[in-house]
Amino acid sequence: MQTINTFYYGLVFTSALLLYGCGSGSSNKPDTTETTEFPESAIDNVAPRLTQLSPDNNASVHSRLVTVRGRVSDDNALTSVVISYNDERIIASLEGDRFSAVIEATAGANTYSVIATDEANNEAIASETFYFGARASAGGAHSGVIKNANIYTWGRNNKGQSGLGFISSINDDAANAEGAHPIMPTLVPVPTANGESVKMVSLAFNQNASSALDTQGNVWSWGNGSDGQLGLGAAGDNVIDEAGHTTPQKIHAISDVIAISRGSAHCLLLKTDGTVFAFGRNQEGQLGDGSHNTHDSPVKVSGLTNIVQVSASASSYAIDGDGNLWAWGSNRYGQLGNGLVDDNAHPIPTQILINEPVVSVASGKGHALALTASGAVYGWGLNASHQVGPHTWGENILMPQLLPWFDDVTAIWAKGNQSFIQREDGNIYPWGQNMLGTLGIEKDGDIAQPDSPITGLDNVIDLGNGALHTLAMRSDGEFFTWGWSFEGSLGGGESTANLWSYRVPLLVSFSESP
Amino acid sequence: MYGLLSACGAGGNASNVDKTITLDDFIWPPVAGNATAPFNSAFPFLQFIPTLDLTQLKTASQGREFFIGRWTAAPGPRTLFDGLGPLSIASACADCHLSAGRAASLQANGQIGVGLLFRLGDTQGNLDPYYGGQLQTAATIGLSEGQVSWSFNDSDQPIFTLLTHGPALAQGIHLGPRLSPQLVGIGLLDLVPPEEILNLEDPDDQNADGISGRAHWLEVEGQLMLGRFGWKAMQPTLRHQSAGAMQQDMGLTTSINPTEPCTMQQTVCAEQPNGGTPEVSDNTLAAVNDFLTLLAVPERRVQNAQQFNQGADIFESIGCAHCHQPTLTTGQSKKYPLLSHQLIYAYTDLLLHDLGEALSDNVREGDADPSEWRTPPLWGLGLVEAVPGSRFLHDGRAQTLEQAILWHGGEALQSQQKFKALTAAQQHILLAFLRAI
Repeated sequence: MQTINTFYYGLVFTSALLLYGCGSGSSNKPDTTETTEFPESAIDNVAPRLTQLSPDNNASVHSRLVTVRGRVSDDNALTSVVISYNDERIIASLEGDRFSAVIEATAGANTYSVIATDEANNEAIASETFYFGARASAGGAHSGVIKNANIYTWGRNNKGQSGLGFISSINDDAANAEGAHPIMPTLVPVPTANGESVKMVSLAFNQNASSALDTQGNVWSWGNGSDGQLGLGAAGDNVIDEAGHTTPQKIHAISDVIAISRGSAHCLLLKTDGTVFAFGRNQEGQLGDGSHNTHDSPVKVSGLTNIVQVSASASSYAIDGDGNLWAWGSNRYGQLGNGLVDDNAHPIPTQILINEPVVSVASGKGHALALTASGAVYGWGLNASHQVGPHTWGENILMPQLLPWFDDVTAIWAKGNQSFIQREDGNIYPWGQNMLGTLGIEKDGDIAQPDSPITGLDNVIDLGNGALHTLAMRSDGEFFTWGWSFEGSLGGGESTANLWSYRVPLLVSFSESP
Repeated sequence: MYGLLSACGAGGNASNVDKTITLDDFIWPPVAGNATAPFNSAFPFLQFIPTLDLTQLKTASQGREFFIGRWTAAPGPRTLFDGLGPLSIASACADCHLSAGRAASLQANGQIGVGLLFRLGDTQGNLDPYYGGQLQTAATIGLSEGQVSWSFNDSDQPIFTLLTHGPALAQGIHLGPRLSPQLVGIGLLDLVPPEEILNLEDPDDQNADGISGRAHWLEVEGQLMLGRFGWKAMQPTLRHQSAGAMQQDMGLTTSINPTEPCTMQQTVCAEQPNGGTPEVSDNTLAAVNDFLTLLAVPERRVQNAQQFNQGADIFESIGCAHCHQPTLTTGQSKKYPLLSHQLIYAYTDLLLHDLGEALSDNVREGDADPSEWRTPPLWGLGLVEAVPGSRFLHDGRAQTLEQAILWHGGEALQSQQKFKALTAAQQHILLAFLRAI
């Protein structure tokens, strides 16, 4: 937390400043013992205290609507807590010593300040940063991260999904290979737009395809092009463009995007105006345009407005600004949470009923998780590997089931048959399928109830979940991986065995300074 | 006698309270300094140092997989894991070095488990001309070198019988049984500076206490090095120890030991494909080394502090501590600074001592006589004893710590006799101490 010493700021904003003549002006650590020298009748010159701000530490948020929270206290009485964000000033609501306010994030890094003022006009200011978007993402066996607005990838590259300009395999004969197979993070050649390098803010990898969002709201795709899932085709030409690409290609048909999510063969795009677009496979109705026709260019999802987060798997999910959860697409395992299982296409978003506002949604191969405003988590859908909970709850869970284990969850993730949550203690608790080191814990076998945090992993600010492996980003900028090592998926370099499980998170080394 | 007596309540108010320090006031430092871990009964011997950051675990995490992974004959599906054999004993390090207890050794049916291997040598240090210096009881193709069975003789010493799959052992060559140890704290012992060990030497028993520990000097790549690992201190560093085990126990070549465990007379090694030159790369060997270095030592399990202190007293007073030196201090570790200058309670001097005829096996290794043994560390021993089937001493003849003590002879005879002279209650207290360290 970039907290400006509140006591010092108290001095700056009060007439008591001169009482501290002994060089404290250049120090933000005034000698607090001097306060005892003031007579009791002195005016209040102590600023309010701000603590426990969240989001903080450059952590990722998954929804565009971000609730800024924290605690504030004052020796006498507070008059206001104001959040200053992007030239806006938002008055926070106060409940006891807790304050909160909702702000609307922009893609990428965000900074806000909290200004607390007391009746004597003493002010305390604290600033924090967070990030809206995915700086880590993984597919079937490829991985990518964003560092300094550049994309680095590693892992499987049989369809060019690593975006390096060639197709490769870990067993390639180096002498005849088109390029070195990426077993460690490799810089993806930066596309240029109007002569300038494109800056990337968010990734969406799945299976053997990849997408990225840039700072200008444009979307780029590469990798496997089947089902038009790269979104690079021409609209209305009745031909599905299934060409694969080995480098990022710009989707010209859409702009003003602020969030992306990639499903098993389709992609969802959230626009700044709160509408949702989609492209790719539509057999199960996952594009939500009322049809089940596959589209190789973005089509509008019908009926959705004021959307703040999207999440794609074989189904599609969206949350609106009121905390309503919408779903469409496959319902093979009960993913739509409507009490039914069927193989029909569901091409129109319908609401999943959860008793309180939903603030985040995550989806795995056949299951989904929803985080509510109170810190509770609901799960539903495929439960064959305990990815929702114990088998006694059912093989498929057809209605959102409140998970009984936690009420202090701050973030959720899902992919494949795994679920991950982060609690207020900062630890990541995984559950679900665990046969290939996928959960990053010492225990063998599926975990039906999350009770062991991931080995040694703290200060995590985001995860990038693959089908059988996972990336974690830490607040110091380091990335770690664990799970199934296949074609270099873990980015551990030559000493990492291919076709092998790694359950203790591995540090990802960047050979060149990004 | 505890060296680091510390008074409780430092900084407290002045009072008339008697501040005489009693045994109960002694606060034991952590058993292995920064490398101490809370006791975890599930895997006491294979857990990482808890305070380590993941960034420091990178190669250790990879090393862990090489350690627990099953190696295969070349060519295998994973190039990093191939090269096993053709002659070997086990296909995974973790087969012999368990996360809890010890691998099976002397089994009830007269069979030998993978936790006991056999050196081959005579009293002069010569190896068997056909089988070499160690018996490989497994093979990835064809027959192994042979199998050993065992039975107790009248004095409860195990007698080993070898059935070879080739020629008989040469005249004068004996079986030298060597039990696999738990690998607790092995990285810390690797960091103890040679001077510290040499300071404990008394080869001519100048202090006339009947104990004459001596260093085992080895010539390694033309350089004299202090041996410190293995029952005979035949390996100077953890890296050499790992490479030695890879070669002799798994048939894996390294840059340190570039040849398979075959003699010139054994053609199978040359006939079989190898898994690379060497089969274990320097990176892999370093990763395994990092893994072993970063293994934590489980904290003491003290039930009764007063009795524990009394046990420590008895341990010292009957002379155990002459060889089983309670503490050593690590030197500088550039790679892992948190392991530098750590006071560790390993209970070893890492020197060779003559333990008497009853523990001799007629196999001389290097400069170590058949009755000379390197003092094994004692930390974690109680955890080993608690696991059924665990055994002690080089050939596994002892099933309990008490039996192990009673087999001590030679330089340790006096201590053994003093142990016998203790009251039953004192013996109980001493054993409880040993089980807790």
